[in-house]
Amino acid sequence: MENEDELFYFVPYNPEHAEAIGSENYSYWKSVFRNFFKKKVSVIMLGIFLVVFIFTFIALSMSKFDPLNLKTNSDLSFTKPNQEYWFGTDNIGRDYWSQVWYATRISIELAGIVALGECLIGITIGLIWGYVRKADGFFTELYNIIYNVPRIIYLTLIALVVGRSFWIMAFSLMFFGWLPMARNVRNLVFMYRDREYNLASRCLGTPIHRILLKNILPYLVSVIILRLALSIPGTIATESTLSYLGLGLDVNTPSLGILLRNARTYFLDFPYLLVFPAINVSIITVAFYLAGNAFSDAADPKTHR
Amino acid sequence: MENKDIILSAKDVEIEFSLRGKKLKAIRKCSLDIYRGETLAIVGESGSGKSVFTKSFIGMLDSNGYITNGEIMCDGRDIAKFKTEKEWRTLRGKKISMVMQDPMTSLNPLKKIGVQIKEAIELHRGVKGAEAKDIAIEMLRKVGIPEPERRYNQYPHEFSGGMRQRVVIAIAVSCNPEILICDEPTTALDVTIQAQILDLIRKLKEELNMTVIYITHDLGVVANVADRVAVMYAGQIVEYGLAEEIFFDAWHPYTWALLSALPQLGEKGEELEAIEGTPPNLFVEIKGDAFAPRNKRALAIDFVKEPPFFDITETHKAKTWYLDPRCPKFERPSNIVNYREIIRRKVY
Amino acid sequence: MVKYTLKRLLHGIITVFIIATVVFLLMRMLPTDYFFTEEQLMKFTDQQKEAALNAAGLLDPITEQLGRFYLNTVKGDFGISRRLQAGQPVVKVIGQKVAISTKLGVVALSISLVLGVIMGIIQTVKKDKIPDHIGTAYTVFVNSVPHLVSYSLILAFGSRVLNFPAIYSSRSHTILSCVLPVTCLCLTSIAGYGLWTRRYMVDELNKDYIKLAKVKGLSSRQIMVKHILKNAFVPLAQYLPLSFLETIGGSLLVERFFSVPGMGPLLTDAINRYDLNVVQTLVIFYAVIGVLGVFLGDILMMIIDPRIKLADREGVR
Repeated sequence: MENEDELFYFVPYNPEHAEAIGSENYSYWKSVFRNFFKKKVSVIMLGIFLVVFIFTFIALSMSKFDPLNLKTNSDLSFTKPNQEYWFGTDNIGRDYWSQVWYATRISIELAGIVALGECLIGITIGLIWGYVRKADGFFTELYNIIYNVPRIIYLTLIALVVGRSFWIMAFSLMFFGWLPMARNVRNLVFMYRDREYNLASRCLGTPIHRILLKNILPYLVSVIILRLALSIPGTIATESTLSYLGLGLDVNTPSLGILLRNARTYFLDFPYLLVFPAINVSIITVAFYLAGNAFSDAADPKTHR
Repeated sequence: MENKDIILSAKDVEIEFSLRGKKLKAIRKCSLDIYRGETLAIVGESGSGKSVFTKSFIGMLDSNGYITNGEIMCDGRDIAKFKTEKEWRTLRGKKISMVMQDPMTSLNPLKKIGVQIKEAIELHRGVKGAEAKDIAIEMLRKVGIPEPERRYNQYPHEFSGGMRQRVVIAIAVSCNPEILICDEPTTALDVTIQAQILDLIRKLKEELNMTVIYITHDLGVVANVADRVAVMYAGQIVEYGLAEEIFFDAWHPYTWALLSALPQLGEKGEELEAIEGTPPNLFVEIKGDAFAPRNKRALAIDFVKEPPFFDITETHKAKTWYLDPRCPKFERPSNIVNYREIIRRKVY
Repeated sequence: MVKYTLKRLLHGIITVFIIATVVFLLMRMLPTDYFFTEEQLMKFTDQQKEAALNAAGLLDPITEQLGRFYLNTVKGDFGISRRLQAGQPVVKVIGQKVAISTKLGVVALSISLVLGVIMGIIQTVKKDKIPDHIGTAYTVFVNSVPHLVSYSLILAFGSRVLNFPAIYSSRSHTILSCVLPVTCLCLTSIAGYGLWTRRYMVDELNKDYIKLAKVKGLSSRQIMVKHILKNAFVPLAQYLPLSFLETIGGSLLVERFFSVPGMGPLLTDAINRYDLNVVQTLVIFYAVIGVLGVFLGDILMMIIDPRIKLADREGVR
């Protein structure tokens, strides 16, 4: 530094310089996606989920058999997987490949629809429940009643009274699935409702729905996604349990529960009857669960920097 | 300070944190000697690194923080090189102890406070059971808790904030530490309680012959208790000296800004002075004097080259180019030069 | 204390009352055809059907039926089972099943509590190391893969490779035949207790008082044993009474899967067969368990956490 000596003079003050702290402009969703894509595992999981999801459609169109009109043929029962029957056949000689993939698709569709419904109902009720003080008592009581009656009663009754089909099941699961979501949302709204900035906003005459949507909902994103991540594997599990118990889909729709129920008697001798549906559904649920959890982490404003 | 016995000496300490894959340099080449029996205050705004720096003396850095450079000598050992918990435990409690900021959270809510004090005593004084209990009750009395025998069996939630801080202090000093670090011990307390706690620490210091390090952002606290003051900014000590020297003969522009921001100094009806701007981003390398962008009368060289420490007196040093002989002549702000008069006028 | 307890109990009774009423009304929504067996449906004339329904009091106005139901319940008369075990008092029908379910449930719960908490502790101590990752992988597997699938895998492995009986048997090798059902019950609850233990312990780990304990000079092991474990167990303990009481109800899927003659499938069976007295009694039973479990949990919390002093803590949990 030869001319160091020449630098001893006063420079004018620059207020913008003083404020320059070097943190870039913050955008919530940008940070969410950046955080998410930073984690390799979760991106891979999301990839796996999408691949399997897309493949269910390809697999069905590849199949030589129509999953809803499979011929029974006792000569072919328990055929091991071969060139003709890729996943073998079941106890009455029906192609297993098309059944397994059809069941996978049913599971994903059902879970998706139920999750969407749960979200809509749960968030709406949760927001009202948490924000409108007068409604708190009513919803709390309603929650306690629905929650404390064993869910199996409602589901059994619906199966007996209304019938058994995809849509009946979707609606009945939705109807009882919003509870945890609503409770989560309500508790969070409770936490954020009386923060100073919301009081200030209310004093300025901002309508309630606007406060809910703009000031409170963003805080809920992480929790909502977490619930979704739990709800989709949960719905798949519930469907299989109910169908296994005979309370879910009707016996002629190949679904995970129905397949395992049929296989229960035979899979000890013909393990492939268990292995194929088990692997399929495990990949989907684990991948979605992990990706959903990672996305929920990424969506939590506390992890942003 | 006639007694120049150094009890702890930090030299060129650098501390980094890794945050989500990025490196944050929290402490940049900090050196500081601490003398036996003194009360040293380290001041600075939030994020200046004052807390991180002192926590490294006792191995209490968060798990993503590391000392990357320098040495901290204590008892002839370099504690910056300590790796294992076992090494640290030869020091914690016995040699160095600490009082934390928030008394509401620093006690285990499910254990009787007596048990929490006894735990420390049993660990360090080689006594057990009833004997340790007696000492614990004595400690409670010493920190000014009425009815210590009864209070011994109570839980933290039955104590007020100020009382809890007294309990925390009792725990911290119950193992007879040589150095007591007080990390903003009064920040979370009512103003009326603050003076009592400061008084208590001063009393205990005399009684137990401790060296006390205060970490604070409150110059008012400093003025009341400190023998010596070190001012930190952006991970560096920028000026240190005897309390008098810092208050009445400050040289670093950041120290000026801190002093000017004291409400006691303002005139009634006038606006309080605030330090404009924000502290620098520690994720990026800092060039020159970190305070330069916020300094209203910065030198050009402040933006280019980091200033060294210049001696003002034997005890007082500041890290600013203003003290370089090449610096053009200028007047320090009038309120800094006349600080003593202003204070006198205000107080008397 | 007494006032608080009474208030809670009163609220509990009201909840049970509402639930019983709701279920009573829901059951009346079932078409009366379910009253008859298929054989009867074919054979009976309409008059015969009506006579049978009338004799059972099912054609009376709904309010009258409800009133009769309340009166009998208060008297402690739960009626007799009509179809499941025709003519037997409901209490007796349930009683036989409760024994089996509770036995399996309590064994499974005790095992999972011990293993789950140990798993959580190991995961916390070895946080972000391999044992922690293994534990997390296990939790993720259990939480995401449908239980039906994991039970099937346990069944396949347990009966094919380890030669355990594939279904429950009360006649021979009863204990051996319980191994697989108990394993299935444990599978999920170990993951639950492990997950929560780890979460609560990690929560405690980051608290200020742990820092002070460190400053005191306590070792990590001492801090773990003397401070964190107890504090982390407090929130866990709140749900223990409910968990133990719930074992009485059995597990629907496990018991059906292994043909265990327990409480689990009883409710659906009773609904399927229009065995009204059994359904109503079961629902009251479950509701009482739920209310009582939560209440006992709160009492337990008051005992072990000195901060909680009988304050009203109503509303949603």
